[in-house]
Order: sequence, then C-alpha cells, then structure tokens
Amino acid sequence: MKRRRFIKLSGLGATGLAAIPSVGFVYTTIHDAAVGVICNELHYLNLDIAGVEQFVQDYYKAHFINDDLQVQLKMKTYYHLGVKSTDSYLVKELVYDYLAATDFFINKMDESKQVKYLGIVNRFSQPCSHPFSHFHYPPDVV
Amino acid sequence: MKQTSYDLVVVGTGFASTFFLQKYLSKASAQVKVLVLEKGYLYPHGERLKEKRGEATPYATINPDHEDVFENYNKEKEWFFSQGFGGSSNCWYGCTPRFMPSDFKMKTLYGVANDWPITYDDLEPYYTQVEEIMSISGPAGTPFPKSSAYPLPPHLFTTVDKLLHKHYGNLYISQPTARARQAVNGRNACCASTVCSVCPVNAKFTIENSNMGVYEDARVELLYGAEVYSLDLEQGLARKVNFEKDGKEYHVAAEVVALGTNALFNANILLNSGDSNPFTGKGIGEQLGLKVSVYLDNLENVGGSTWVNANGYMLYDGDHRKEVAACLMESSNEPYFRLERGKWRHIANFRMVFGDLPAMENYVATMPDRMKPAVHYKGPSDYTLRGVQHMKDKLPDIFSCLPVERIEYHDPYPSEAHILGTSRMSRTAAEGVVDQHLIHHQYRNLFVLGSGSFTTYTPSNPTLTLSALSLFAADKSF
Ligand SMILES: Cc1cc2nc3c(=O)[nH]c(=O)nc-3n(C[C@H](O)[C@H](O)[C@H](O)COP(=O)(O)OP(=O)(O)OC[C@H]3O[C@@H](n4cnc5c(N)ncnc54)[C@H](O)[C@@H]3O)c2cc1C
Ligand code: SF4
Repeated sequence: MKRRRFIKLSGLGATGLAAIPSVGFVYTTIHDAAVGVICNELHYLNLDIAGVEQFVQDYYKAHFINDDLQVQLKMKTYYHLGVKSTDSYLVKELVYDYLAATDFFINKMDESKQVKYLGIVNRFSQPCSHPFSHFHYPPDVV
Repeated sequence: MKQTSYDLVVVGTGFASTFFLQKYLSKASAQVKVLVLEKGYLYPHGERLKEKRGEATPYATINPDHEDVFENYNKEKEWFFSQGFGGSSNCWYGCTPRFMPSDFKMKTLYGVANDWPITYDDLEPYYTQVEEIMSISGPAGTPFPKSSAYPLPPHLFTTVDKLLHKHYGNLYISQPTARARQAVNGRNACCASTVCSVCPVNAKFTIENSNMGVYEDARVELLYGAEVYSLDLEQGLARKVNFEKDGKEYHVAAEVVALGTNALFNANILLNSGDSNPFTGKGIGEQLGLKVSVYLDNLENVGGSTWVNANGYMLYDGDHRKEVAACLMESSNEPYFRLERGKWRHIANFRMVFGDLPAMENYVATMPDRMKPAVHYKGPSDYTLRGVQHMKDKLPDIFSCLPVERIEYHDPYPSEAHILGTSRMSRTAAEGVVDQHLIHHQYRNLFVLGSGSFTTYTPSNPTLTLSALSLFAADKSF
C-alpha cells in the first residue's frame, strides 16, 4: 500500500489513527485495515507509518488471511469499528507481532522516541536480540 | 559392514548410545570391534540453521519426519523427537536438572508405584561426569546434593527470579543447563535467543558438537541408513541384530547389544523380537506441563541470560507426593510482553511440570509395518491431575512474595517432548524389563538404554539422568 493512499484513507497524518475514518468499507484493502488497526491501537506512540506499512506487507506475504475471506472481512470490520486488542485475538496478534518487530522494547519502551520497524522477527537470523535480556538490563541494575 | 560379528553392536546415536559407548570405549581393549547402526544421517548444525532461516539446504529431507515413523492413537497427545545422527540432541532445549534423591524411592517414601533399583548416591558420580562432558552451567547451591561444582557459572536471574531466590533460597535456583553461560569446548555463550531447537549461536550441547570422540574412534564403525527392526533372541541372549539398509536386509552377530533408539523404538524392536516380558512396551508416559502467567503490579521482569532461566522446587518434594504428583517450576524468559501501555513487561511466565506414574493402559504395540510402533496413551494419571490442582491451590501463597495482580492458568501442553517407560527398571523380572545396569532381565547381553528404563516419572527433565545411567551401566558392566 502506498503511504499517500493510507493517509488519505485514514484522514490523518503520520501521528496515527485516533478516529474511525469515514471512507467506505468496500474500498478499504486488507492492508489498509491492518495498518489502521495498528495505528488505532497504538495511537499514543509515535509510529513510523512507512514502517507500519512495510510490516503489514511483510506480515501478510505468507499469511492465511490472504486465502480467508471471512478473516479479511473481520479485519476490515474491526478497523472500521475501532475494535481493540482486548476484544479481538486477531487484533491482539497483529499488534503484538508488530511491536515485537520494532525497536520499541530495545528503546526501553520510551514513548518519546519514534517507533521504527526493524523487520519480521526471526531469531534464527537475528540471534541475541532479546530486548529484555541482561544485555539491556545487566545484573547490577536488575 | 566390515565384519559379520562384533564385540558390541549399538543401535542409535543419541545421548543414550553415545554416553554408553564412550564409557565402554574407555574400558575396552584396543582390539574390540564395535558397530553402530544409525537409521538416519548427519544433518549438520549449519544446514539446520539454513532451514530455519528459510534458506535452501539439500539436507532438509535427509532424515524422516517424526510424525511419519510411528502411529499415534491419541491425537490430543503428541510425542516429539528427531531422528538422524545425534537423535534429539539436535532439537533438545538443554534443560538439565538432576533428579532429587526421593525420586528413586517413591514406594519407600510415599507408598507410590515402585522404587528404582538404584539410588541417587549410586548415580551421583555419573551425574558429575555427564555435567563435565556437557559443560553444564549451574549454581553453587542446589536442592539436590552435589559432590562437585558445576563446570560453568550459573545463568543470570531476572528481577522476578531474584525475588523468588531471595525468598526461597536453594529451592529456587538458576537452572542447571547445557546452554553454555560462557564459550566452551567449541560452543559459544548462550545469549537468550530462546529458539533452542536449533541454537543460532551453537551454545547448547549436542552430540554433533560434543567432541566426545566416540564416532572417530578407530574401533568404531558407524553405519548410516541402517534401520534395526528386531533381534534374534535365543537361550537368554541377543544373538543377532536385524536391520534394513538401502532396501536390503542384514543380520549381524554380536557379543553384546545396546539399544538406544528411545522408548518408542526400543520397545518396537523388543516386541518384534518376541520379547515376552509382560512389561515390555508397557507404561509409556511422560510429564504434564502447563503455562502459568503471573501479571505483576508495577514490577518489570527483566534481565536473565537464557531461555529457561530458573527452576523452582517449592512444590517438588514433600509428603504431598503420597497423594499428588511433584511439580517442578521453570521460569521462562522468552521475550513475551503484555499489550498494555506502561505494563509491557510486568509479567512472568512459568512452566509447571508434573511427574507421573507408569500405567499398563498406556503402551507401545507393533504394527504390520515392522518399523512403525503404535502408541496407545489414555492420558495423565489422576495422581498427576491432582498435582495440577494442588499447584493451583498453593501458587497464590507461593507467589505472595511478588506484587501479583493476577495469575492466569493455561491449558496443558500436548507434550513435554520426553518419552519415558516401556522398559522399566526393576530389581526382578516380575516387576520390570531391565535391571539396575539396564541389562534385560531375560537376555543377559542386551542393554536397553534411555529413559524407557525409568521406573517412575519425576517432573525433572530426563536427559541428564538417562545419560548418567548409560555411563553407570557401562562402567559397572565392563
Ligand atoms: C524439542 C525437544 C526438546 C527437548 N528438550 C529437553 C530438555 O531441555 N531437557 C531434557 O532433559 N530433555 C529434552 N528433550 C528430550 C531429549 O531430547 C531426549 O530425552 C533424548 O534425546 C533421548 O535420548 P536417546 O538417546 O534415548 O534417544 P534419541 O535422542 O531419540 O536418539 C535415538 C537415536 O536412535 C536412532 N534410531 C531410532 N530408531 C532406530 C532404528 N530402528 N534403527 C537404528 N537407529 C534408530 C535415531 O535416529 C537416533 O539417533 C527434548 C526433546 C525434544 C524433542
Ligand atoms: S537460549 Fe538462545 S542462545 Fe541460548 S541455547 Fe537457546 S537458542 Fe541458543
């Protein structure tokens, strides 16, 4: 999804999506919806929107949602209704996996820093990247 | 195969076989001839990593998938293992607590099931040897007695582990583990990647990286692709080992035979051979595990240097074992978090692991396909399920030294990836399959190695103990 199109869709700038956009349901792509869901849930964080878009693209590359119309419909509905992770496992999983794939935890959950997407987590390719481990919290501060 | 007859034929190249063979070779003469029959092939660690990273490797299909090599009659229950050179050392997670002395005396102490024909003290020196070979990282103080320090320093606690250790002392310890705390013996230091099935930094002990020198020994001939299906059992001895290789049948004579194919396949081979011991194949089981999430009030759970960071023994030993199964706690240090603003890492996950007892209704049987065992498993015993309830009753009190918001209990896992029983150890043939040296009660030159020999199922991970048993058996027998 192109960044400009998303912003148009959401009616918001790069700060995220606090309100439900007024754009028609049928025109929303699954990618738009997923980006919207993430931005909506994490509205209080300074998200790098291009990174969110890239994450969604990577995430859905080989995801079962591509072949499951029902789940696609669900995601769009959740986006339009502003459903939160506390009410939907689908939303929770998406937002959880997005945050895990960013530098948010490496930056020690500092909300003032922009949250950047680093790539889908594959600890076989990125070993030793545990953001809560002793590398980030050495024994003398734990 | 260079000969038709060998001093020793070993089947399998996992922990059980390799530790047995190492001790045997250390005691045998320079002239002995040993044949090792391995069903699969070497799938090198570097190639396994490629597969995990999504890269192509010609090795990906070299060994069979575990699901294709046995028939599971209870789809809710899973049995995990991996075949090929090194067996499940390739995919294990390297948790290596010792058993407690009481685990060997369940009947005497708690009136439950049977005592093992050996004691903790018998095994103690062999535990030490295995810990040396695997370069285990562990703490100075442990709930089980130890005659020597662990070879490597312990892994580091998280904030939550620290509080629990402060409160419970040696009942809550840094987990003894084969995930190296420091670089050692060609392995790198564990850095908490928490994907230990194939460690991306080669930190955990495997047979491939063990440097045990067993398969390089000039006395040993290792045959890959050799799948054993039976033994010729005659007049109280195992005379021949029968196997298939490249679609052909072979029969090799042996003075001594050692089966190390795990509790499923050892049983299948024995049953195919006409072993009529009433306990052969009977009692297959393992531990039951479930996750507990502890939501913390304003306490960040951070730090820690490995995957399972600590073990808790608060629900392990005690008189409750007369009625309910012992429980071993594992503190999990995966990079999980709460999806709640400001409370991200205010959570600690634990795996609660419960012991069990062998039951005749859980068993391995043969199939028309002689290579394929069938597993019939009804489920954990009431003793184990009562252990789960006991844990739920006690846990709020146990965690009262932490600022707990709430505790969430998850459903049990379908497997703990341990396969126990089927050739249980006993003093007499009337109570089990093998004696204290893992020699079959009826066939006196046949060793049946591995965790199939466990008399009862403690909550502790089995591999350190089954490896120590292999050393013990070979040391006492040759
Ligand atoms: C994912 C996973 C994680 C685990 N984590 C832990 C842990 O943290 N701690 C712990 O204590 N345990 C753990 N285990 C269990 C541990 O791996 C086993 O207890 C251990 O591997 C058993 O050793 P073994 O030598 O008896 O059998 P195996 O390791 O299963 O080796 C059997 C060998 O026999 C060969 N073989 C099989 N059939 C035949 C045949 N018919 N003919 C010839 N060769 C044959 C196989 O190819 C293999 O080489 C884990 C297991 C899994 C699967
Ligand atoms: S925790 Fe990570 S580094 Fe340590 S053994 Fe497991 S995979 Fe390897």
